[in-house]
Amino acid sequence: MKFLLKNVIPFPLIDSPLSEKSLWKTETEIESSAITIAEAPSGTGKTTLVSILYGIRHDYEGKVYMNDTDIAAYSIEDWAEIRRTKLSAVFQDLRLFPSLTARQNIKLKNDLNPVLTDEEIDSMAKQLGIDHRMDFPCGKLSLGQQQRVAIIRALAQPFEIIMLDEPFSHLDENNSKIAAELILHYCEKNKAGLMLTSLDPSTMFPFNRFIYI
Amino acid sequence: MVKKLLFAHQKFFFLVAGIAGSLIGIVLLLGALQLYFDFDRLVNGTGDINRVQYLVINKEVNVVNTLFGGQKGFSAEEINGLKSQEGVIDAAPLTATRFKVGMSMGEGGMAGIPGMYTDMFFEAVPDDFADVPQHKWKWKPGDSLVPVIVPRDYIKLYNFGFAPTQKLPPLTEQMIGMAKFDVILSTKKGRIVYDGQIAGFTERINTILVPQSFIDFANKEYAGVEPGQFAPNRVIIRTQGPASVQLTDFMKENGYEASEESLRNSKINSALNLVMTVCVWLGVTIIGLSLLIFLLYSQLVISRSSYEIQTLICIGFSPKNLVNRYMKYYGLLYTALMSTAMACVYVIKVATNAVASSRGFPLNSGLDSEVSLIALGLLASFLIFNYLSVRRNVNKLAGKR
Repeated sequence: MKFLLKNVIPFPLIDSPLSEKSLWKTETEIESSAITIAEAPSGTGKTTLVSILYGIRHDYEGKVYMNDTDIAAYSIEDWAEIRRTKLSAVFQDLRLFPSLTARQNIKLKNDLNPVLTDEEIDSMAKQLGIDHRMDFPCGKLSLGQQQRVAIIRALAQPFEIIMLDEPFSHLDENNSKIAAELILHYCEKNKAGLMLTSLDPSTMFPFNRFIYI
Repeated sequence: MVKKLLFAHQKFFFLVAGIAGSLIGIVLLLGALQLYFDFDRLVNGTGDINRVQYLVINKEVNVVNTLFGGQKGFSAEEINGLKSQEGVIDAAPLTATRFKVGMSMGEGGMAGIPGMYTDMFFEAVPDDFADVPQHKWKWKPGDSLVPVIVPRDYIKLYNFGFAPTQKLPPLTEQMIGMAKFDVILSTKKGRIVYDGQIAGFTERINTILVPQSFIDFANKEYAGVEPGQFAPNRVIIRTQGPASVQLTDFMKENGYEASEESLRNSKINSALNLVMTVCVWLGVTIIGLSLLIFLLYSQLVISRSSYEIQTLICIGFSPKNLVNRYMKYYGLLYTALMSTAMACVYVIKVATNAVASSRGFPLNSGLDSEVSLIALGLLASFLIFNYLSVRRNVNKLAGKR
């Protein structure tokens, strides 16, 4: 799977000065074969990039192709299918259901296109140190704990590219490391690529492609 | 789990108001229709409100045309005017004979009836207005037998009025049907005699009918009158259901008359129609308002759950799937609602039946199929409106373009 951005610029950034290295208004590829880091200071459109590639935002100029198809041509039903089978994401704002427990949040996603067994979910929760919080409503968990729930949920589906928008912002180094290993393990299992957006260069993943926003 | 998210913040007040309103509206509408059907059956007999009825119309006889003669007949335009009235399917003139007609029956023409002679008159209507099977209603030049249709009232008049005073036996329709008599035409060409036989009895037209072909032939042959040469004095019209208010008004305006009895039903009917129309409009209005409340309710449920819906779509739920989940809920809700309403209408029906039959008006038991069909139609339209609204709102949240 491959994304190709051609002269893309989000409307809110049209009048902002762009850095020379910025991917906006250039031709950039993001592939499932690569472990990509998209590095940027805040306010330059990291979350916007993820939202555009994930089909949530459409307020941009230029063209985005997914496997040679202009993503503007996808219907909302097409996007539902893509989000179940090809594209996964951990959002910066996490998008969990605060009224559901951590386990329910994960199961809700997994039941759509089951890939994880209950045992696998429990084992992942244990690795990430949230096994004792799995039956609490997400609204009652700390941000760090919520971030780990969102990571497990993102892995509870088949994917070709997983996009991580500041996934470790509330995790300590040790937990970040464990989470990164877990994510890499599932990327290998799915033969999938990864794109991480981060404020600073991270050493958690063996990046082989760098882009700047 | 998903349902819990989709209905996370519902407002029960709207739901209860919608349910109460639509229940009242539907019961009012369907109950009114059911009562209407019942009373229509009571008033109009067969219960088929749309059955074809006949009305014979003439112009009023007033002093002027009595003194000066020259009662004017119906012109072709006037007949067309009648045809164009609401509910009128067809109109045709009654053609009268233009010569004297008599009927005589010799001694023994019918058992126990003395020989007799009487002056009378014939009229004709187009064959499809006649009240007997078509094969019995034929005449062509050269036939000596002329079929005749007599109003059923005439037999009653004879049996219960004339016969007892003359010490004559009453007659049955079969006996009269077998009797042969002479039809005597007194014309410019002298006395012409045909054989006559009663082909049938009618409650439709209060006149003695012979086939149109016979009158046209005889008028021309014996009186030198071409068909259509004289404007007809009477017109028969065929209406769908009882005469409409529009038709009775039109007749009044133009000074036309018809028998009071047939118009009285039309008055009862228009009163019934009025009551029914008021109930139906009231019912429709209440139903419309409650549908609006339901739509508002579903819109509110969706907009209050907009974070949940957007997030579900974001993690891969298809909007179609979410719409279907909503519709499953509303489908159950509306089906339960309609079943309850039908049960209420049935209870009202049973109660009316009890009251009506205690006063000697037996009504059909059970609900009319039209009422059930309308209930189904309402159910379908509730579901369709709600589906469109839910789909629009969910897609709006999903697309956010």
